[in-house]
Amino acid sequence: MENTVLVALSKHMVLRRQMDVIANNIANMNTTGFKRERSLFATYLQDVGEGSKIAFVRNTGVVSDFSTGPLEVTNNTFDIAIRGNGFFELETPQGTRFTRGGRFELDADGALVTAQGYPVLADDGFPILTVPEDTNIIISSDGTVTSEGGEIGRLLVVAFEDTRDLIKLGGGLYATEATAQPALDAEVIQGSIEGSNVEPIVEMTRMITLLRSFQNAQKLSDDENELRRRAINALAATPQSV
Amino acid sequence: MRSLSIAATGMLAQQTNIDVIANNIANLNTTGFKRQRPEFQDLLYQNLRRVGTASSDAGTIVPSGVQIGTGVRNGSVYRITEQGNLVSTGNTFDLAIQGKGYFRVELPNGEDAFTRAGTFQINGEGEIVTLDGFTVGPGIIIPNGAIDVTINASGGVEVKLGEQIEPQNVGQIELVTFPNEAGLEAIGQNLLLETPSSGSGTAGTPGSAGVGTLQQGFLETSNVDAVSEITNMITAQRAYELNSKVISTADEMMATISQLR
Repeated sequence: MENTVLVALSKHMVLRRQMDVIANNIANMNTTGFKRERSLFATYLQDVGEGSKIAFVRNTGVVSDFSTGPLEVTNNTFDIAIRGNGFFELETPQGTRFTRGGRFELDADGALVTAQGYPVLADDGFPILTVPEDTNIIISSDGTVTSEGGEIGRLLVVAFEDTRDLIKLGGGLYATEATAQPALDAEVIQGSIEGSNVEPIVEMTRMITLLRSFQNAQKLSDDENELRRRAINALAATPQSV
Repeated sequence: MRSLSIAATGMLAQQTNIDVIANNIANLNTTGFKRQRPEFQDLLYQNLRRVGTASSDAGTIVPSGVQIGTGVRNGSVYRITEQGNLVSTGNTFDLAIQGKGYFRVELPNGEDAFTRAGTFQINGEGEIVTLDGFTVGPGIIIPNGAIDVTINASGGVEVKLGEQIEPQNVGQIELVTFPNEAGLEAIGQNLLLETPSSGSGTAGTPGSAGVGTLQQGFLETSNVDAVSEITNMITAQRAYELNSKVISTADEMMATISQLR
């Protein structure tokens, strides 16, 4: 007979988790290449006999929305955004990683690296190396890097059949066991970076709705408590006191 | 409740953002200043339900697990080394660099520092020095009695002395280039130091391959764009407010919990 309270509890639990997801989205409003996340919920049915079932709610997944974020023009040579579906491939000590945060720079050896210092790979599988004489570096929309001295290499932009295979590692990095394929509909834009695709208004309205649902769930528990208190009073009352 | 700490990381990040913007705006008129931009990264994710694990004996797998992020952090604050505008000052020892490269400045402790602010003067010995009196490499002495000092685009310093018809070359200003300019360490006073991440500097003649040219009588202004800084500031302030709203919502949720009987 604890069902009402337990159903309300399951609601409390998922709403708190959803709140964490919204909080993370809002905290990453200005994070380069960040993709907003959504919680997925599912009904969990339990047979309680006499042909009736009660429904609990549970959190089955958190998915990233990989739609392109707004492009922000910085005019910095090594700020590179990807328009369309695609990722840069990076070489890290832990293995191959992927990112959409195209805030790159040159390291002491002249290699193109991320802010964390991981080399960005070219389509031949090696890092892109520049020499000090390379000036006026131009990156064309297909990823070809050229300077006054000629072509340096071509940035590798890859895509995945199912972006849900990607595991988020923080720092804008993703790892996966799926095979990467060359991106077909991706375009590279130099001098811009991709902003976070979090939409503050959407997150705010979700947060308000969530708060109200949370309060409703609490009301449900309260009402159930009141119901039971009354039942006990009525049923346990002795004839003298009635 | 993770939301509280997540929103706190968000507010902290926006504070850094405002600090950087404030510094950019404060240096709107600083010669040779390069604007900075903070770079944010998402923090580690907690796996509550791992992606790719089996969801049944039949081999079906979880298509998207439950990964909850834990907030944001400031990854780096980097300089955007875009060329600033050149303004004419008409001053003999004002030099602007058009293109890549830095002037080498000899610090009193013997170390070398680098700068793009070419507001130079001459000291009592006739040596070309910065506003703080530090020698500009390689140390050029303008002879006493020089009438006219010309510094050409490739750094040659020529003076005209008294009755001489031909100008006399007294030295050559050199520029230093770095593989990774953003890796230089700023020490204030418009000066930068070489670091392992900037790579070692290569001295070159202005105008040679990969090195910029000099412009006498001009100064390179700060590359801060006031309009974009102000719009960034508005965005940052709103983001800060939104994060504080998350905190108050989380607080309200906790108040609701405490009212449960």
